[in-house]
Amino acid sequence: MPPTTPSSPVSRAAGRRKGSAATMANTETALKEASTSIEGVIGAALVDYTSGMALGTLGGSKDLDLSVAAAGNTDVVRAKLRTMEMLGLKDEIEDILISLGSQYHLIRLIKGRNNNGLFLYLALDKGRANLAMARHQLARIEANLDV
Amino acid sequence: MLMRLADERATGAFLRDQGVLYLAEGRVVHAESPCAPGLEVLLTVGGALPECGWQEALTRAGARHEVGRDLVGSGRLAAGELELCHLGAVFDAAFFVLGPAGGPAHFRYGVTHWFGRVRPVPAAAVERETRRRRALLDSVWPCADVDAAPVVPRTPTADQAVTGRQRALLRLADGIRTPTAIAWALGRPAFHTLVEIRRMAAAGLVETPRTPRTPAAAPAAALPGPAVTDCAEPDIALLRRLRDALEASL
Repeated sequence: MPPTTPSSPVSRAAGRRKGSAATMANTETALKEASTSIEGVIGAALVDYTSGMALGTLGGSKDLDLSVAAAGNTDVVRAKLRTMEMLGLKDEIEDILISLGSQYHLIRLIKGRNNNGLFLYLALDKGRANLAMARHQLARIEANLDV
Repeated sequence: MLMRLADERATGAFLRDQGVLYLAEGRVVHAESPCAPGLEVLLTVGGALPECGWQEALTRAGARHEVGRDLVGSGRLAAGELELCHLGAVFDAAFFVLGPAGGPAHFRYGVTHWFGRVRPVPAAAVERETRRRRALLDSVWPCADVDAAPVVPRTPTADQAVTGRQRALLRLADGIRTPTAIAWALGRPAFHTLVEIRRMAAAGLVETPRTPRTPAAAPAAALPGPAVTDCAEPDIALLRRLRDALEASL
């Protein structure tokens, strides 16, 4: 079996690991990576913004219910997408930053080939987080997520 | 019944009128419903996988019940891609299987699905998500008639924005296709299409069927005298504000 099939771009195949039980829980791995490689993470979620469902969550607490945050932030994403349509902006959202008194909430839209309508949601402790680094790491995690 | 099966860590097929949930040790590993496009449709029509790739994996690994693993192992699909698409298909089908019109349930112990396990989900999470989705649909636009009626688009006014995902959906709205048919044609989950259609109905971008779709309604519409359908187009924005105000004051 050749490493790439004729229909799949090389870049996809290169980032792909061979099938094993471990690669099956890819979402979990990506979220774990987010919480360990990014300083100050309070919670992380991978969210489908049409249904508002969190396809995976990590961290969170009774103060931060990630499934509620997931569903609520889909409204943020959809409102921004709608606004861009109204403004006639032919561009794509990379990420959305919401800055609170003590936290940063970072939303990164995932540009998979299938345009599944997903985003990564990250809540960060403002005192410990380095925003520029967090954005950079989040972009890397998106690339590794393999969607 | 589903919770009891989850508690006893049962393995088998949970059957209702609107489809099947497959359990392994009490967790949901797969779901299928005639109302929801299956994983095959989501993957092949959605563009992640050529049709022949699916067939090959089925032939190679179907008997071993490892089709999912084969798709990833052969390099056809990325693990994350499969996992997310599979989860989407499971929750989508479960929404219909566990729906209020699902009828009586039966369980066949020991049955497993040929696709194999990807990411098992607790049955309680599936039930909770199904309830949340039902509530979401009703909060968007409490009119279940639009779910099954052919989608009839309306011309958007200058201040109405249509997102890219909605545009793809409207392109297929020819007055004949229902939301489910559009979901199939686009290779998207059925619930996602329902929620977008309800959003667009609420915004006045698609028609809300005004008369019940029963044959008995036809002669009533032909009666002389003022009928609701003779009124000018309803002002959706005004109606929404009215609804919000009523909800806030009740």
